[in-house]
Amino acid sequence: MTIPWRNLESATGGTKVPWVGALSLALLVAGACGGPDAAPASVDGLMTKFIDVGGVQTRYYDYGQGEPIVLVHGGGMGGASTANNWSRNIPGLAERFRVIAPDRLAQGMTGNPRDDADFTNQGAAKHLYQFIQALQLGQVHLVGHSSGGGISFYMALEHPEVVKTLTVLSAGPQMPPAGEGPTQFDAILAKCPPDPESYEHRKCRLLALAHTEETFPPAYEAADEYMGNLSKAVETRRRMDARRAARPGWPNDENNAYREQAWEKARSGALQMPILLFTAKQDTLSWDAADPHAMMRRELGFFDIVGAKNPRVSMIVINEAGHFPYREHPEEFNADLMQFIDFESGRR
Amino acid sequence: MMIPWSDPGWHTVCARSTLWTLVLSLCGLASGAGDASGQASVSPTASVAGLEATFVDVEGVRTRFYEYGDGEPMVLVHGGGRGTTSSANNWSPVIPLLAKRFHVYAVDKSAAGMTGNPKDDNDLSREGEVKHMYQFIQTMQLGQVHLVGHSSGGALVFFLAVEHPEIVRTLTVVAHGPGMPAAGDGPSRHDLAEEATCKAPQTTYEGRKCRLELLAHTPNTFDEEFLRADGWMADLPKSRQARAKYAARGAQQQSRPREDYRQRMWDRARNEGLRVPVLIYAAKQDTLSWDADEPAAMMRGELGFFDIVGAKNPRVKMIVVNEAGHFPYREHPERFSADVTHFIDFWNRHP
Repeated sequence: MTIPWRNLESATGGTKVPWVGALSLALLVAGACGGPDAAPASVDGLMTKFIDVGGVQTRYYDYGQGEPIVLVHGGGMGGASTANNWSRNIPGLAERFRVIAPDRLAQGMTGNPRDDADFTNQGAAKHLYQFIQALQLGQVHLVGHSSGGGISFYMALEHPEVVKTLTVLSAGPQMPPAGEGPTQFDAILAKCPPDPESYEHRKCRLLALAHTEETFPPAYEAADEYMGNLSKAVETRRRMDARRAARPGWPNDENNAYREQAWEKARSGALQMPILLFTAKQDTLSWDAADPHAMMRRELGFFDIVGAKNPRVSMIVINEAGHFPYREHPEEFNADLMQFIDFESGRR
Repeated sequence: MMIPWSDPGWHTVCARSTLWTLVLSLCGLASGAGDASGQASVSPTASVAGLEATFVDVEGVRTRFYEYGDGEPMVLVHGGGRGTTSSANNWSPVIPLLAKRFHVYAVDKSAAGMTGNPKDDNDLSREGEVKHMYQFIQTMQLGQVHLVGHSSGGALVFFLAVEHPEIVRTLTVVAHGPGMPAAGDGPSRHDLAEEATCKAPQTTYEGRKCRLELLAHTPNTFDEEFLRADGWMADLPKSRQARAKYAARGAQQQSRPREDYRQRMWDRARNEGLRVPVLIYAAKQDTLSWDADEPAAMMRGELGFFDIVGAKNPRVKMIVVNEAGHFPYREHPERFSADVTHFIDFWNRHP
């Protein structure tokens, strides 16, 4: 569709804007604003919504009715992984629950924090809580994957009153290590192209974590690529690099200290809601390279922490899946999650 | 007839009781009359928890079992045994729960509970136990069954699934057992506790009873009625004979033949692939799963077993529950029943 010079001139108050540029601009603006036009960032036909959370524009998916399940993706700030991770689970869960999957702070289509100090796990947990409050969800079934499992664990410790059940998927940075040495994942990652910002590296990394080649189809990769190259994502990396340079040890020292505190609180019984740990036998992140097979040391160590004074902790390990078991076996994961929620609800 | 262990005159009472049992067993009846002091008695079928067991002849071996419910057949196989502790009574808390959805058969293994000894002493072996259970399933014409085995019964049902996959719908293996690799390189936490606490040898009832109680995590996992029935069954002449024969076999043979059989089963599972859905059900405080060097149980045995049965089988799942020891189905019966039912239901919907 062509936009005649004259019409555009009058529409824009006399400013001369090349029509191709105008169309691109319109698409970009529409893309950033969300709605059905947010196609480049969305997958599997999912409709996007946005909400302001303490001044941070936050993207989320929202499907179904009933008790809310909040799905929290993994990955790192300014990098890969977004609410898109849950695309294969949302429809099934939405048959019985209201399923909400946000992009975390500084990830996906969600904006950066105002304060650089919030580029940490603690900042992400705070944003997640504010998001739940902004939508007025009340008590939720919180489900977090990988680092999102960590964020969910931290949020549940800070605000147990809004967490009905907690599900932590796969190994995450909030868990003890897999063993003394490197993991199987470390060994595979070492063979990936070195530049962590490059598409090739990210794709290699994702394949190292996935068990199958179908885990991340091209459409998923394209959306991920699009979001990773947004100016706000570039901004995330710039701001974090600057802060890292100014504060040696940041953010790891802070994240580690926060984690130690969280373990202390959990061990002394701060978390009393039902907790499910869900993981897969071929997750290379849980596999000490010295072992012939993954021995789930991270998840089992975490089990001991959250289960120290909480009888309602359990763990499920499934087969033929890597770090994204919920994508690789969506029906099995959905069924097990709903079974866990139903059983624990029945006891109340 | 009751067994008053602490009574100084128990040898006489015991001998008299034994003679009575022998006489009445020959008549196909065993009377459970209370003794003169009026203490609680054991039912003639050693049944517990308001359930009632019955008997069937399996290739000449009188076999006791519980049968409850309607639906797809499910066979529950207890652990321990071999003339000492454990019988189908172990399953008493979950039989009524599982019977809501399944046709449940909880069977005393060969030479265990009230089931008779095999005709051939060579069948006092893992292969013999497996054969007997297979023959029970055939005798009762159950067709394809959901197999659920605990501890050494878990090993039995695994071996049965490898030997006779055509009769297995799903396989559930509960808690650490001899069908699994070891928990670690050294002794388990349980081994150390047993050594320190249980003075009677493991070939005696006293020794096995001590072991049983150590393996439970929750107090009162085994109530008085259970222990009375268990002790009574262990004191039956056929149980004493079984214990004596096992002890003799143990002295004669090394454990080599048993390990060879298990290794063959592992190899077949790995190479041919078990094609049925498998559920491995474990508990975080099972001291058999806990290498004594580790601060907590790391389920190495179960995870190693996962690798064996999961080598060519996508439909393997492991569940680990908290605050439970070696008998999670007794300690958390509703949770256990719900988990097993859900596992079966899911794979029925996704064949």
